[in-house]
Amino acid sequence: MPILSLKKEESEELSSPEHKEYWEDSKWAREHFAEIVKEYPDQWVAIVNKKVIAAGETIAEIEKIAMEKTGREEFPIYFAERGVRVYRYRIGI
Amino acid sequence: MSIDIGLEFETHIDLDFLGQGVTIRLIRLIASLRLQTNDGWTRRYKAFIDTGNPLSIIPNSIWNKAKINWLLPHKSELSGIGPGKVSGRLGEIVLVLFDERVDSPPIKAKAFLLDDDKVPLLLGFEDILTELKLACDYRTKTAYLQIPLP
Repeated sequence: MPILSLKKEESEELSSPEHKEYWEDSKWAREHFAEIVKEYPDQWVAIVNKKVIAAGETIAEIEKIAMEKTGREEFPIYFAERGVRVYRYRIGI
Repeated sequence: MSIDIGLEFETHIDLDFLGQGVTIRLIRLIASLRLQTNDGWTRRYKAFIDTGNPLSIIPNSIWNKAKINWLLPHKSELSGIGPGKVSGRLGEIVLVLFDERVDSPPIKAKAFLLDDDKVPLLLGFEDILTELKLACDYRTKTAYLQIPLP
């Protein structure tokens, strides 16, 4: 069974004042996702203060830009998926 | 005893089909999570719940900050629809899921850890949907993962 016991100090670390802003930005992204996909198709986007603050081909790139622009450590990151995509699994070893 | 971690629906219209007069909704069911690192946890990331994937898949920019237990010493390849492949390695990570109200206990899961960011973070069956109950009702916009407490 892979579910482990939660240590108290880890639980406290996971809650932070940025929590509310993170969820407000998440809600905004969901409500405006069509516009986000139109402007940034198949790119990673970071959302801060209810706008796309960074977009790019890699998560590392947009994290860096978003942190430099805003000083924020936490922000929702989405993949602006354009079109129907099916991520099929077949591993070749 | 268990806790329910709320999931988000993200819906938008496929623009290519719309241009041809057909409305197709692109719907994704999204979880929020952090991965365990050597000295704490990563930032929050969004993940697609993917019942079509036997195994979770994690992009490079996310897993390279995490604490990894490598399960195999060599790389593998993953094929998708159309030409091209992505490559990565099989490992085990620890994650927590969360919603606006609550965090889950840490969950250990096997995952395919990609060499790049070409595929979003996907939560598949092994160690996630095999252990947690998924409830999903798009009509009422209600979805959650039910996690048994240790």
